[in-house]
Amino acid sequence: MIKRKLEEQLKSQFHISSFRPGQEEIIQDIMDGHDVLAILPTGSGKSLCYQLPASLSEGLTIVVSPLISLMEDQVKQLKAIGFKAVEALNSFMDPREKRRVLQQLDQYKLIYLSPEILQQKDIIGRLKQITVDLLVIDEAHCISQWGHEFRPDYLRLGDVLKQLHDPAVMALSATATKEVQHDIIASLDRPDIVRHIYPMDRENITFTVKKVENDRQKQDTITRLLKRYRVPTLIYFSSKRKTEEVAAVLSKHLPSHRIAFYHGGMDQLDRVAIQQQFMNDQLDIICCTSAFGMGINKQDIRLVLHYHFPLQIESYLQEIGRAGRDGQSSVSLLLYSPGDEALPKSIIANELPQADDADQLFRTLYQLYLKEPQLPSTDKVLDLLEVTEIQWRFLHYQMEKHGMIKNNQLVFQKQDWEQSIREIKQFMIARAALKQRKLDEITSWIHEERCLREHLYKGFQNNYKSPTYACCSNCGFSFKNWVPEQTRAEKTIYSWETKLKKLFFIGDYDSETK
Amino acid sequence: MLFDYIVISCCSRFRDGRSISAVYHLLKGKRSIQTVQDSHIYQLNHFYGIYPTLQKQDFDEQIHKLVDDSLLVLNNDNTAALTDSGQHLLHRQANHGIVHYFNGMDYYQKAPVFLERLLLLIQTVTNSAENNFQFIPVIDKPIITNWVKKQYHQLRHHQAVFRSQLYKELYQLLQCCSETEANIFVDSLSGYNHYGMSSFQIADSYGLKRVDIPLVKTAMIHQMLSIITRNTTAYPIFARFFHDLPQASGITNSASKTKELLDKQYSAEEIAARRHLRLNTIYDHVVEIALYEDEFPLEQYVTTDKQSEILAAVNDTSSYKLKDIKWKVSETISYFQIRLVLAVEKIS
Repeated sequence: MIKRKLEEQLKSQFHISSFRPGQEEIIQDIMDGHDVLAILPTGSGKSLCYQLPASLSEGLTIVVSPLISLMEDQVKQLKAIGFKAVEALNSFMDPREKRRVLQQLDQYKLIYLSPEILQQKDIIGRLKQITVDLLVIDEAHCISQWGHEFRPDYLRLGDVLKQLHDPAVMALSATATKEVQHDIIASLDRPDIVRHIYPMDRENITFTVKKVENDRQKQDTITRLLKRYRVPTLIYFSSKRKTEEVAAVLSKHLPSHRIAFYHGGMDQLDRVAIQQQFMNDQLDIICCTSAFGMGINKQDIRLVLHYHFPLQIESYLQEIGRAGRDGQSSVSLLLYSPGDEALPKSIIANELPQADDADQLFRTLYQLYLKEPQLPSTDKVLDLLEVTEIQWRFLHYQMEKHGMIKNNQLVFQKQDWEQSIREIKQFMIARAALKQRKLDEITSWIHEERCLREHLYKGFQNNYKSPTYACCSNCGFSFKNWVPEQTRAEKTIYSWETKLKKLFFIGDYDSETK
Repeated sequence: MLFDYIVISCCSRFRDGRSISAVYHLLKGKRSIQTVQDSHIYQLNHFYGIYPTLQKQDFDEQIHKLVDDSLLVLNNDNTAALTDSGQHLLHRQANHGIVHYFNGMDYYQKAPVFLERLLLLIQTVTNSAENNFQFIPVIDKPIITNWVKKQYHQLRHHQAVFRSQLYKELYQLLQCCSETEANIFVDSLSGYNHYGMSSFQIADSYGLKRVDIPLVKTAMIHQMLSIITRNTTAYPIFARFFHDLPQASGITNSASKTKELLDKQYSAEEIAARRHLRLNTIYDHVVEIALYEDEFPLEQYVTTDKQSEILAAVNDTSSYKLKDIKWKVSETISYFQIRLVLAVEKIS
């Protein structure tokens, strides 16, 4: 593929003037038909690496992504720039709409799919009928049982590839240790994959950790800091309720700032509104959960605060990676108070069934088998076993793998069950230990007394670029010396008549303020 | 407050005749004969279908609050009764202006489509005025986007005129609302480089309850629709909005098939056999048809004597509970006949 053609397409279809580091090389390899493993830091424009080839390709590109809201955002953004042959398929969509997309599948160039929908027979059957040029695996670290976000559905992707007559593969991730990279390649069974691994350190971000006594002091610290700095700010929480609570507190204490909250429990329209307001500089501060930010491309986020710390360094890197994409000095501040470990611990416990409860769980399943081997609806199973949906998904996959469930029917053979249960329990213990180790990693980083930057990246790469601005709170950074450009937009209150005139560009709306 | 007032006034109409979930179904605009009939019998047509996005969980939560605040008491059979303070609230807010905007039975289908068309049209014309064709649309339902595309196509050669006319008409309509209402409405609009406020944000900045915001918007749309209908010449652009709006034709598809056959003089039993449906389903259709027909031939189904007997029983029990009525009348009168009389009389 000629270099000029790629650049032309970049300008005419994506309205971007030049490639960012790594993009062109990766796209070139894809266009030449190679398999690619790309580890690129957050905010480096990973999606363009498959969107551009998809827009030039004859056949279909399918993208497997675990995040439905992210898929929907991407589809909206692509349609907005005029790339219309794009759609997302997920299990929440209207069945009629799904049928329509499937019927016209050959008219699309890019289809986003959730991993579970890719297990459905009708979808696979339909995909087999047309030419799939490229299968993209977004968040490819989910494939690895040693990754922090292991998703059983991802393990079946190797099989999906074979069923689709082995199209080219692109595995993408922002965070993958060497161990995880190895797992990805092995499970896709593509040893010749071309690797593009880029360092993830961000030289324009300053790292700070502040320890306080309690919640109250966290809120006071944030209030004091944001009184001094009115800059585009994200504050991350692990609890939806807390985003709303703290947003309300901050609104009270910072009347001149425009503050909103964002979490996955809000409806689609409200979520889009908040995202777009932040993009358009109509908001200064967003109190959010990790649901915010994926696919958001705001260049001038100056501050990323953590009210709660994430479950592992990988997530932290992803969240702070949204700061300072324009290369200007930006700061990450993580707030810690004693006892903060409890929340991530309970989140982990919710994800995995406890090994101690396993015997009881399997006894209940055996009772169920005696009555009727066919599994009842998911809701009923959750009720019966007293597990969360994530826990059941985990169990279900494990049981399928060990032949204890076939075609949604329980299969019982005494000897096999005992052996399988032992193995599943061992796996649960190993998984829980891994999660705990990840948690220990981030807590020990929080308590690190030497350079934060050095110790943050050590699990991922051997060295890092020297920081452009201040390094970290352990290397002498103080907010006193930080003077970012402040947002000046006035928070004026207009009458509705004036607001309406402004909206419609009617005449002399500038003169009146109320 | 608006939500509370509406729930309380529904409960006061239903008294102990209907459970609290009947209020939920009414506000959601459930397409069941029971709900449509309730809304006619209890004269709650104006509230029918005014809150299609209401979630059961939120509804239950609000009801619990009303109970906790001692405005409502839930009985064992899940019917609700007003307390004295509930009665008080009902009378105090009877003149709550915005409540009178509602015209649910006529507009429950039209209002959401009208609002969504308006939101997307404003976003489109203001962005295209700045030559920006890369915005994230506030509404992405194909049925709405196609309509806006069509409008845009027709107007693109005289955009400026269209934009100022749209502004003028909207301005006129908003002048008919209160100051706060107009502010809320304008704040939720999106335009060029500007995204409208979410329901949460509006609730926060006007000190209102979140659950009220969709109701406020719906009420305003109903008010606008009725103003436009009364004077279409003053609103040439909004009059276009009425083209291919969903018709609030009352009856369901299945019922209209039954009606065709009834008109051809088939009996209910024959229709059931022909359509492979249960006889009771056909009876449901007949009741549905009776609700909407002005000249329903009631005598074909219930003799005049029986009609008076049923009506007397209704007065006697002063309840619309079918069971109570059935108990009062002779055994030869069926539930179907009682429901039919109630439907035709649209009793209140």
